[in-house]
Order: sequence, then structure tokens, then C-alpha cells
Amino acid sequence: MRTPALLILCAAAAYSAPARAAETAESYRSAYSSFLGGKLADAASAYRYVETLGLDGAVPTVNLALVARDAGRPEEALALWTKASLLLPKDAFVWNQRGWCYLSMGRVKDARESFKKAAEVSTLSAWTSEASFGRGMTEMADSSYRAAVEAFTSALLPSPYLIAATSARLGEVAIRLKKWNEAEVYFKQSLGSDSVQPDALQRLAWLFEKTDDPRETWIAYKGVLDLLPEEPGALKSLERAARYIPEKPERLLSVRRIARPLIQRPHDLPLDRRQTIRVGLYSNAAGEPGTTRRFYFVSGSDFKILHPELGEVNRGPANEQWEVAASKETGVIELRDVHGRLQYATKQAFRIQPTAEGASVLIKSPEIVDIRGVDVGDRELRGAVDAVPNVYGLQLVNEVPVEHYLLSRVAQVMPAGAPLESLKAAAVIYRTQLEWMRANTRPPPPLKTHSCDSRRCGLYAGVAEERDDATRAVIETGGAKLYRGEELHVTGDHPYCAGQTEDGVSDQPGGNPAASVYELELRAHSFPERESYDELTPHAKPSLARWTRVIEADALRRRVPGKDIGRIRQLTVARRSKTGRVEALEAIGVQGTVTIDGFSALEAFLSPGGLRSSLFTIQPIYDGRALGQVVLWGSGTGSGRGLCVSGALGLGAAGRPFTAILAHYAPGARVAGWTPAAQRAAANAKPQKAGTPSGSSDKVESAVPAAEAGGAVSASESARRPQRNMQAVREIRRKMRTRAKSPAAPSTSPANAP
Amino acid sequence: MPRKTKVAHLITRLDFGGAQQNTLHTVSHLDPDRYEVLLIAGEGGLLDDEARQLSSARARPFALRFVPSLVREVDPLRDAAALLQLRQILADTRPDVVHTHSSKAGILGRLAARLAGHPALLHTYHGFGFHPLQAPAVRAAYVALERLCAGLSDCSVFVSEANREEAARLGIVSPRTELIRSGVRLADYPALLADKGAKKASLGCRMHKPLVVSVGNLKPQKNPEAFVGVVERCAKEVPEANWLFVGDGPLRGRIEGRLVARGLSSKVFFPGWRKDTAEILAAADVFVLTSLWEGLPRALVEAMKSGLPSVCFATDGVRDLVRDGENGFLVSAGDEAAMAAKVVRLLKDAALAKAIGAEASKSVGREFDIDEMVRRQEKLYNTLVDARRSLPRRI
Repeated sequence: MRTPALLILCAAAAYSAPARAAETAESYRSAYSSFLGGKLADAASAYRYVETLGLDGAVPTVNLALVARDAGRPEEALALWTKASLLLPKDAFVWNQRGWCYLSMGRVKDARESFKKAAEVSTLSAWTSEASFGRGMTEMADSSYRAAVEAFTSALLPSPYLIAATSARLGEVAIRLKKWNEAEVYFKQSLGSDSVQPDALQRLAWLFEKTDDPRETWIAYKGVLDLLPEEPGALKSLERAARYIPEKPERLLSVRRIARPLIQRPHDLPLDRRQTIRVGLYSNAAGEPGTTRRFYFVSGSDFKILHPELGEVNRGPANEQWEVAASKETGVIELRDVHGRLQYATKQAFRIQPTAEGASVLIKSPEIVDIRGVDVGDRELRGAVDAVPNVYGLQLVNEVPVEHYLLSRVAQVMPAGAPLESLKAAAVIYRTQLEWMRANTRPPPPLKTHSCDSRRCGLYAGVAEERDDATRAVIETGGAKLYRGEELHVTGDHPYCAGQTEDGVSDQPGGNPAASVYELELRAHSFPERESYDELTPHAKPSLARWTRVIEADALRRRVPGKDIGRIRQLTVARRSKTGRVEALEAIGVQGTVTIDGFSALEAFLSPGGLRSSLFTIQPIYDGRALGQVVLWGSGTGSGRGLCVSGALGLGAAGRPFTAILAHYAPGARVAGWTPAAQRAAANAKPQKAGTPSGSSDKVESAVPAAEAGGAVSASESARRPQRNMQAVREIRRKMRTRAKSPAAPSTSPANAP
Repeated sequence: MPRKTKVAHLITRLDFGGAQQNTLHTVSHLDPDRYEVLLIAGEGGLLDDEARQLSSARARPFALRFVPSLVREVDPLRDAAALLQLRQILADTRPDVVHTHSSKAGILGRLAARLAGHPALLHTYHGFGFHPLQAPAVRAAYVALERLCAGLSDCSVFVSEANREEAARLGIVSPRTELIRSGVRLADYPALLADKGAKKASLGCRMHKPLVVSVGNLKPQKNPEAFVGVVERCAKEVPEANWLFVGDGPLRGRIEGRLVARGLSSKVFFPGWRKDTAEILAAADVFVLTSLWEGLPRALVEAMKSGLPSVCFATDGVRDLVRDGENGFLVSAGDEAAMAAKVVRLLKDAALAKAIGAEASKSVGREFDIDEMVRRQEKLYNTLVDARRSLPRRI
């Protein structure tokens, strides 16, 4: 009688184990899905259910604690973190989180102990430095500034990822201790590590102003206004500083100055010049072309001044500097030659067109009316330059063949020393974007621009930024574009994807997107994976990969769009994308609630001009019942859409051909409209048959022969190949370690080494 | 806030002409933060309504006074009345600067200004009131009056160097002289035309045939009969050409009759005054100016800025603009045959016409801009007012 009962029990147990595992997995999926959709109560219920099943140890507890934190229930979160730390006493991440939770509730003594415990049990430098950072924050909250300095200083050492945030905190401590010089050094260090930090830049500018250094003040506020053009105080401070600078303040900026055109012997590159785009020059952060009152220009060859109606109205010789000045009072534009003789006066648009193919026009020393967010350096430009008058002066537009534009664009996005195949991939992506833009947009008059030259549209500084490797990449992919079916496949690009692109492409061999709140948090706090393609390149800066921002709640309150909602009590993520990127936030204030939707709004609210990406988690720190600060733990840089530049560099370094890189980041798309160099060379070697138009029959699609892409493989072949190319990865790692040991080597992203 | 400078402009009548249009532009574009402006004119001009509208513009308002007795014709009684009325207005308003334009307002206005007080006084010669077609005695009387009034002025403004030289030669001398060009709206020239042929067709001309244009009042000064003479002479050589005279005036009937009599009425068009002159010039191929005397012909400036090769009689202001064979052609005043030959040459030699047109466009510089004209007048006012204020006061 006993034996059958025992058998039944065993069978039931054997049956229920996989069933419960499946149920657990389903609950996790459901919980994470609810979390991404902003339904924190549902997520908490699902995690609680898994917890009651008793499977998976402390994991559901950690998830629950994070959900409770995000829901603004620190007391509940603390109980869960306490439980988790009992279950996982050697887990430094959990101790750190417990420390943050204490700190968020103002229990500084407990927070200090938790962070100390985290440092004690930590086996990874990521957790050690976070523990020190957290302790520094705790000491600051406790007004123990000297202890804070010690803690922050120890946070600096193990982690390149926390340098920016920690240095900024050290700067704040120095300000409180009235050590102005030290504060300046710390903020400079912070900005040296991560230049896109408007808060730190503002602090530095304030320090310069306080120490009566008008030149440095002016430069710093110019930097602030580049990021925050509408910052009301910054503009006033800039103007005030300018009053104490005897020379033109613009001269203080370290900008590109070119004496004469770099292209001195114009030659025709083997590039198609038929398709042109119009690029608005000296554009601001919003992409609006700047207005100039005066500029000089030099052409690398003889040039013509063309009027849209009259045609040629003047011409001048090569390498002679002419001046173009628009009268502030009357708007009359005068062109004067090198001797100051008036050559042409007008109030209408005109074009500066070099007569020789391949020659450039150098625009020098422009006097820009509003320099906020504008790179005021010289520009040497291929193609022609149009000057279009407006009520304040002139706007400049470069009409340039698409392929010539790419020479500079690719070189500016991809760093020097980038693998050729990565450059080629970028060339194809940008060519596709531009071709689509040309075909599908109708640029508004009078400028009729398709693009701008600021970061908004993609940096473009002309010939000075061109490089041989980028030029080679553009020439070798001449005409190649991405297609899906018969349509152009337009996709964006971003500097660093941090694990998963928004198109669902994993950025490491066998990588998967985060599947739980815990995993998402873990990725935001830990160092990047060594195997990720992003990290296979020495060009990936730490600030691209991980970033941390400490934001005061008062500043957030000032930036709440629309009405004043009073002191902010809670900041909740209302919606995340499938990869965990924040899409909408809800700010709950004493007097109301506001939803902030979309990246631009999020950036304007959280860190105007300085939000690297929307892939972040939020650690609140309360001041009584309202928020005092929030700490953003962020990963990656950019939108996450399309080509991941760091990943492309890593894949290129691993020896992948550009077709494979594109196949990876634009799955399902094909490269077409392009003639491989090998075929072109063969076609050129063969005598051409009469009546056969050159370059018409030998267009191919992405079936790239291995020989074509520097001995690499075709897209189809690479697609068949398993994702892991571990041998190549190891080789790259070995090279990077060798470089890292040499004193002059560029800094590389460190691994999660203890 | 410093007191605004009060400026009074006086002009005989706001007719359709360069002097009048530029005066209106000046009074409506002087910096409203620095100048308080009064325009005084005779009644009955074509631009009276426009002046009324402009005077009430919110951005740059100015005061406008019409003096009915101020008329173009010589009329001793009305002129005396006008003088008294002008003196009264100036005494009442006490302007810091009185700026007169055109012959009659120039003479009466300067006399009235001196009778009314001691404002800074200047006169712009948009051309002279005397001309070669007048009887010698009449001309001598005008010159004498101009000499007298120039002596009353603080400054004489000329629109062309030729006028300034002529004044000096005739003894019309002021303590100070300035050259301020009669400006045009440079931004409007050349007009951007999508289809020149369509524009020609809209004027009644043939779409793809050459078009020769002149612009001006149909009055003896502009000598439109010479224009017809040139058409007659060119008809055999370039029969396909169309001819257009933009403008209107007392000679229109006579000219049209002559054209009908010569069988040329299908080739020559008189569209009257047009607001699209810039577009007409952009559609044209050659510009012709048959004026016998000119201060500075704005129509020629506009045509040159539009890139048109021009053929003109070598009269005073024209010589300031056109360098013969470089940016246009000059022929002796009245020499219709020479003018016709040049026109034919330009119509037959497209390359020459293009080169001359491009040079013409280049040669119209900033000094011909209408806003530049206003700014230079402002500077002159300031200088004159400062000079007046620095004079020792009479006790």
C-alpha cells in the first residue's frame, strides 16, 4: 500500500518540476512585459507568484524589490532587499542596492554600512566602485564632506565608467568646502571623461565667473549654450563676460582655421557627381543654418560668382581671398576682392562655384550672428557654396555631390584607424539615408537644404576632416545602398548600442535582451560585456558605454513641461521599449502629474542636451516625502536604431566584411547598386566593346566575393556562419591588451576584473 | 532718451517718378527711434493715397501735410500763398532739418524755411528744373533762382556727379555738397523668372523673340519719340524684335498715332505703368534710354542690375552709370541712327549682350541701394544738425 502511494508521489513530483519551471518562465515573461508597459502592480504580482513557487532562489525577491523602488515604495523595497541580502549574503549588487535603498530613505548610517558591506564582498570592480560612489553620496547627504572625498576618490580608481559622475560629485564637495580651484579641477576632469554633461559645464562656468576669469567664463558658457541654447542665465553671463574681454571673444575658441585650400591640385575622384545634396552650413543644435554677416572665401581653382537668373556675374582667380559682407543697416551684400575692390553688390542669392572639377571653396572666419551650438570654424567644401540673404545677413548652403559629402561624413563618424570594412558599412548606411532623403523630401525654399552640418543631422566639416581610409571606403562602395525588396532600407546609426539595438539585434555573440527587471538593472550597473562587438574596438570610450547622472529634484521641477506640479514626489517610467529603453516618464508632483513622452522631451526634462540614451534606470533619493535627487544609471549612447558604430568597428576589427556588418545590423536588407572594385578593375582592363555603356551591366547585389572585401566573406556566407567568431574575438582582445600595456596606448574598456 | 530729430521733407507733388518714390521711401524708412518725420507736398499726385497709407503705418508713421497751393506750374499768386503756408507750417512744427526735393518745392521750401527759422536746410537735385529745351531767358531765371536758394542751403545733395559738376559750373553753390545716389530696391533685381517666354507672352509680345524695353514717363524729357525713331530704324534689320515702353504720360496719344502711321503698332507696346517692372526687365533682352536730361535714371539702374545691356543717350546722370562699350553703350543725345545700330548689334550678338549685361549688373554697387540712400541721408542729417547746434546762438 505504501509503495504505490510513494510511486504516485514521485511521479507527481517528476511531472510537476518541468511544469513549474515552464510556469516560472511564463511568469517572468509576463512580469517583465508588464514592467515594460509601466504596469508595475501587475509585474509585482507576477514576481510575487514566482516567489511563492519557491523556485529561483532570491531572484524574484530582487525583482520585486526593484519594482517596489520604481513604484515609489522604498519601505517595501527595503524589506525585500533585506531578505535578498540574507539569501545572497555575498552578492555585492544586492548590498549596493540595499545601500541605495537606505540612502533613498535618509538612513545614512545604514546606507554607509551597506555600501561598506558591498565593497567587502565585492568580487568585481564594477560593484566595488559603485559601493564607493554610493558611500560618497551617503557621506555628502550626511554633510561629512571629507569622508565623501575619500569615498569618491576610491570610486575613481577601479572604474573608468564612474569617472565623470564621481568627479562631478567631488567638484560639488569642493564647492561646499569652498575650495574653488579643486572644484574647477574636478569638473574639468569630469568633462574630460564625458563632455556631454550640461550640469557639470554650468557648474564649471559658474566657478570661472566666481573667480573672475572672463575668458574662461565666456568659453565655458559658450559650451553650456552649445548644449542648452535656451538657458536664460547662460546667455546673460556670456554677454557679461564678453564685456570684459578686449578682443573678439570668438577668437578664444579653439576652432578649425585653414590658411588656404588643402586641395591645391584639384583632381577628379572616381566618384559619381550626378546626385547632389544641399547642406546648410554653420547650423545650430536644432539644425538651423546659421546667419553670417561677413565671411571670407578662397577657391582652390579659378571661380565664378553665379546669379540664379543672370548666370555668371563675376569671376576670380584661385587662391585669392575675397570678402563677403552684408550690411547690418541695409542688407546689401558686397563682394570685395583681395585688394578691397568692390566686385559685386547685391541683395539676392549668389553662388561661389570653382571652375575646376574637384576643386574646393574654403569659407574662412565667418562672423556668425548667433553662435549658440555652432561650430564657427573654417570649412573647406567640395562642390559649390550658395549664399542666401535673409534679414540679418547671409545663410550659406553647400551643394555637394552625395559621394563627396560622404568623404567627410564617414571620416567624422568613424574614428581614425577604424577598420576599412567598418568604414564601408558606414558609407553604405549614410549613402542610403541621403539617397532616400533626396528622393523623398522636398526641401523648403529659399535654402532648399536636405541636411545640416551640426550633430543634429550628422557632423560635416568638409575637406579638413577627410581621411584616406574613409575616402577609400567611399570609393570602393561607390553607389552601394541598402535595399529591402525594391525599396531603399533607411536606417539610422548610433554610437553605442549597449547589448541590444532597438531593431532587436544582439551586440554580442549569443546575446539576448534583458528578460527581467533584475537583468535590466544589472546591465545598467555592471561593466560592458567583454565579448560584445561594441567592446572589440579600442575606439569605444567608456562614456559611450556607461554613464551616471545625479540630478537634483529642484532642477527637474523647473524643467517640468507645462504647468508647475510642485515638488516632485515620484518619477516613474510609464513605458519602456522591448529592449528596456525609456519611452515615457511620469512625474508625480504635489500639485499634479505630468507625462513626458518621447526622447526629446525626456532629454529636455532629465538632462537637457546631455542625455546619452534612453536606456537607463532611476534610483530615487528622497528628501522627506518628496524627491531630493535621482541617480540615472545609463547604458549606451544614441537611439539604438540601425547601425551601431562601436559594434561595426568591433565587427570590422574581427575581420567581418562590410556586407556582413550590414547584414548583422540591418537583418533582411541587401546591398545593391554597386560595382565591386575587383570587377571594376577587370572591366577597366578589358577593352570596352563599342556601344556598351561602362558601368551599366556590372552592377551586383550583395553576393560579395571573399576576395572583394579584403579577403572577407560574403553576406550570405557570414549569415550562415555561427554568430560567435571567438577565435577572432580572442585575437582582438590579445592585441588590445598588448596596446593597453604600452604607455601611449589609448585607454580601453576594462573588463569586469576583480 | 534723447530727443528725436524733427525732419521735414518738402516735395512739389507726389507724382509717379523716381524723386517722388524715393522721397516716400525715405520718409517711411527713416529710423523712427531717432527721427520724427513730416512730409509736405502739393495735392493731386498719383502717389497721394500711397503716402496716406504709409503715413499711418504702425511701424514707421510720419506726419503728412498737403498744401493745395503748392503746384508744379509757375503761378505767382498761388506760389506766394504756398510760400506763406509753408512758412507757417515750418514755424509751427519747428523742424531741425528741412529737406526739399524738386524745383518748385525746392525754391519755395528753402525760402520758407529761412523765413521760419534756422533749421538745417538741404535740397536734393534729382535733376534740374532748367533744361536745354527752355527759352534762354527762362533758363537763366531758373538758374538765378537756384543760385539764390543754394546760397540759403546748408547742403546740396546731388544724385549724380554730372549734376554736381553742372551746378558748380553754373555757380549753384552751397556750403556743402553730397553725392547720394537715387536708390533702387536692389533685392528686387533681377527678378527671378521661371519662364521668360511666358512673361513676354503675357505682355502681348512673341514668346521667343527678342524684346527691347524702355521705362519712363511719356513726356518730352524722356524723349519717347526717339524711341519710335529707333524702332523704325531697326525694323528692317531685326524685324522679329518686340519693343516695349513701360510708362504713361502726355505724349502717349501722339506716339501711338505715329506708330500706326508707320505700320509699327504691332511691334511696339505701351502697357502703361506696371508694378511688375522688375519681371519685365528680367524678361527683356536690351534696354534703351532716350532721355535728354536726367538726374540719375532709376530705370537704368534697375535695368543694369537686371543684367540688361543698355543703349542710352549720353546725358548727365547716365554718364555716371554707363561706361561706353563696357557695361552699356552711350551715343550722342538725339543720335537715333547710332542708337539703332547699337541695339541691332546687341540683338545680333548674344555673347556681347551677355558680357555687357553681366558687367552692367556688377557695376551697380551698394551706393545704389535704396536703404543705403536712407542711411546716408540719416548720417547727413546728424552732421548738419550737430553743425547747427555748435553754432554760437544769437543774443
